[in-house]
Amino acid sequence: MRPRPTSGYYDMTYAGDTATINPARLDLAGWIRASEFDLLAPVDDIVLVLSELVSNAIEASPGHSYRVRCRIELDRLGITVTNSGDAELPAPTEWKPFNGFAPRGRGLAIVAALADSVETSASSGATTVLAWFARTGSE
Amino acid sequence: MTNQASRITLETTGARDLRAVGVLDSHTADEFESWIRTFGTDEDLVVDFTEVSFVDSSGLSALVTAHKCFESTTNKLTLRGTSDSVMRLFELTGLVEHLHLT
Repeated sequence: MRPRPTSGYYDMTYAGDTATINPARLDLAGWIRASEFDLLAPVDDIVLVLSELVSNAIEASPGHSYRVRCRIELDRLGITVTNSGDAELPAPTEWKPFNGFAPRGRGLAIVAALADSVETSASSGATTVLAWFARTGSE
Repeated sequence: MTNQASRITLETTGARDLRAVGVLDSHTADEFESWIRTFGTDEDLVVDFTEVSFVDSSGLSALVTAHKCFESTTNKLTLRGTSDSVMRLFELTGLVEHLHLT
């Protein structure tokens, strides 16, 4: 099933495998562009945030499916990624900043830098990250 | 088309010149890093990045690791022609100060 751009509702589930990251990115980019949201952030930034959240979800819970949803509000668009594994994610206030020339550890810092705000929640074996992006006129 | 996994290819364009084409993410980063290693660090290596359309933190990890391999010798890995969006990511993460870019 492909997302329906005009529905104002987006809910997709993918297998927990890195092979699904490209489809997840392309699906969301296509839906956002078709929906013509008046977003302040470039679609490329939102897609990069999604890529980081999805990579994180797959790495934390390999083999477990993950779900990508959009939450649309008057002044902002929220992208949520939920994985069905038990791995815990630290609260955004504990995410580490960019780390110079270290080999790894930039994913969450990229999310924090590009999203206007980020929320995390965990319940019954599922972890959700919600990244908000402002719409124009809301600044 | 949208159900396809990401891909990266490396084409040889000269003795120590390569052209990367595709996407550098957690699906392709390990493969990219392995390929770069096969060319060895005995001499400088230049990789054209013009046709790399997307890089995320997994791709950055592969690039940093490859750069460090070269730096452990006296040679350099240089990325040429990065797109505006990839360059923005290098700037955002501060890697523009560490990578060799032309």
